Amino acid sequence: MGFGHYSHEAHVALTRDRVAIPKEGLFKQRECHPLMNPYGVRLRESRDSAAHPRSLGIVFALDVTGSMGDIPVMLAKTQLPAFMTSIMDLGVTDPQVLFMAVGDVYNDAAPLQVGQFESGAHEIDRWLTLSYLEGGGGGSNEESYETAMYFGARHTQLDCWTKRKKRGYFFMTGDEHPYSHISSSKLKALLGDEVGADVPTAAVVRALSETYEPFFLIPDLVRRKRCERAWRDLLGDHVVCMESAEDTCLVAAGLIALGESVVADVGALADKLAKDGVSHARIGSVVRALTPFAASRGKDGAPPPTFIAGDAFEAKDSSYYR
Amino acid sequence: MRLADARRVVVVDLGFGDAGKGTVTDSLVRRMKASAVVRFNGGAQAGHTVVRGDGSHHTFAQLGAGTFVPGVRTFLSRHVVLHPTALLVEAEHLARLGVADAMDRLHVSEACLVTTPVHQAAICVRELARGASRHGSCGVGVGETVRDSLRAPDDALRARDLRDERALVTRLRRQQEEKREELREELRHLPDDPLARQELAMLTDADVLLPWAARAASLARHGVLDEGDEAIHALLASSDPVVFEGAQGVLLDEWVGFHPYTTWSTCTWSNAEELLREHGDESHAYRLGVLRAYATRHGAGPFPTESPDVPPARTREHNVSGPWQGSFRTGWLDAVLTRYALAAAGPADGLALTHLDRVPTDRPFRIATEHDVGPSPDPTLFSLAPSGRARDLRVGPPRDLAHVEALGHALSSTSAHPFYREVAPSAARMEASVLSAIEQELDAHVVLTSSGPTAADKRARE
Repeated sequence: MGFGHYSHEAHVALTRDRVAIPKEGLFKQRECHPLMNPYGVRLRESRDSAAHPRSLGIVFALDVTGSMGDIPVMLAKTQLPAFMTSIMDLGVTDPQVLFMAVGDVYNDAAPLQVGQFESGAHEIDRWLTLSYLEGGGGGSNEESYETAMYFGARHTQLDCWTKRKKRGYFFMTGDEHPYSHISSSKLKALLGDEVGADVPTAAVVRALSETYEPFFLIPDLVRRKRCERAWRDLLGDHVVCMESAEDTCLVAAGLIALGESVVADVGALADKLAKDGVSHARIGSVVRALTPFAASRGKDGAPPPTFIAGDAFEAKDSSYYR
Repeated sequence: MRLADARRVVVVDLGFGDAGKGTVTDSLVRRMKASAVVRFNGGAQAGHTVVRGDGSHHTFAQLGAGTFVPGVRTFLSRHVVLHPTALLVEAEHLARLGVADAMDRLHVSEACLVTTPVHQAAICVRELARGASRHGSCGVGVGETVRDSLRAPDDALRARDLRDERALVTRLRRQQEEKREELREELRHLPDDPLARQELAMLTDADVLLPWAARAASLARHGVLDEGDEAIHALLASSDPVVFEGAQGVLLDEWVGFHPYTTWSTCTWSNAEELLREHGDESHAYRLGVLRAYATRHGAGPFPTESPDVPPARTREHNVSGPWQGSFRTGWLDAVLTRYALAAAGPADGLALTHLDRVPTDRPFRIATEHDVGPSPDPTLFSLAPSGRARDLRVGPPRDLAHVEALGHALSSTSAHPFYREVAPSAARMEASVLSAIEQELDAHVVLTSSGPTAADKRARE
């Protein structure tokens, strides 16, 4: 016994050869890349590390079906690569972003593609590159958003949640309705999971909400008409309607910044964006998209209502006893 | 049966490995005009060095040690753990020595377990996290592979799976995830150094899997897979002479060795004889036990006769101490342990005694014949000599790890003190005296001697 020379050489060669893997052009993938195939994946993990001691898990799921038109390519090429920077510019430390591409389990060859949680823009970019933007989907005006949410609920694990009981963020952007149920047979074929019966999408959202703050981002006002109602029924005020798909990353980053209280309200966010050189028009549309949700959290910048001392309970109570 | 008449010879190391199975196998292949070498245990951690007449040498790890002889085929039977990428590296090394067709002469059972970079990294991470305490592991990942396969036999990757490159990537990604989960504690304790970072990448970086899968799948495309074990069946059903080349040594056997300082492999005759039974006839198999004239051991574990000045340093060693192997230790031949190996594995038909050239003629040669294991030796572990010292280790019930662990504990350097028989120095008759002393102590016949690294240095002695 006692020889490891060839195996050691072979082992070292693997790390060396990573750089030699052919990097195909952006979105030249012809089918789901094996690295992004969710089948059999047990867990995608967002973990603390020495460099990122307080990791914050963030999932960005993008509808890549035909109804989205050029939006997926535009987002993946010009917006998402800067997503990490946008989040950190707003003062959120240690974000870790996992990218998913969502299609339709009934019509697409690759209805769900899943990357890994990454802390660097470069690494995220790689997952974007590996994604296959199928442009499929079906005529049923539904897409399989629920499978991505199911994956988030059952196949990811976040240190921010397990260690600090702080939920991560789950963003889905799309323009169709979710299916009402996950088909158990499709789930088995897609992920290898046995769930017995079909799972209602509402139950998936509940499970996802345990560890994530889930948001559905609708790219523009035309698409809003198509799907807002169905999503409100599922997610309530966590449906964010934008005016332009180009606002997507800033809106998502803004939602995180508000949720993490690194900016006090949308007003402070607007100031911050202006300081970072974001155009006036863009700040306007981002603020308009964020305001309804921010208002529900008292973070829309409107002055708080004032109460006059001695007006309410105290006086009443004392008179009662007297 | 005489070695010269045997058509099937099973070569097994009676010690802790490194006895010289490679050079013995090479010489047997030449003597017997064997058409094939069959490996029946271990995996890529084997290191069987063969030196050719011209001085060039190769350390055979997965390819059979008969590969230098033109036309001789290697069969990796289902008991072998395949390391696909190391095999390719080994073949490249052989090609540089002018043996370009080694892979064309290879047959791998489809049922062989497959070691992946994830296994290899996992064992290294365990070692790194464990710090000082080493089990003599080489970090090749054989143990990790076998362990996982026992835990989840249906999930184990086997050679037949190398046919589907894409499925390999998916399987390995899952392996990465499972290992990360399994090793969560160990990963927390990893030092921050280049070695640890490299191993960490194997568990976290999905990119390393792509070149691995491509290379592993190229093996299947090359046609080395033995579909349905048909080729090995044809070989063993024929009357062609065949050498069965064992790896590691009986004292490292998973059930017989001194747990936990063992390997995840059966190192006795049994796998080879099982193959012969299945495919042909075991009745003509010759059991050849290989032994060095002095003892060696890689890494940690009991070694009562350890003695760093044995043998006097003068020859090159092909056994390198890699970062995962621990040190290479030497000491006097231990007849007590060797008798135990023969009792536990079953008797040999003959012994091959190697490294006789390392026996100096100008000083006494020592053989440990008994061990002083304290005032009241445990009768379940030892049978005693008239002197009150332990003469033999008792073979425990089959697969009783508590027994072999107790044996190992009792043989640790602090508890066991060897009692030596000395062979007086003699310029003329040293080799003959040493041989007869060894035969006497082991009650076995030495049928082959080796006093040098090449096939020409081997002498039959029947």
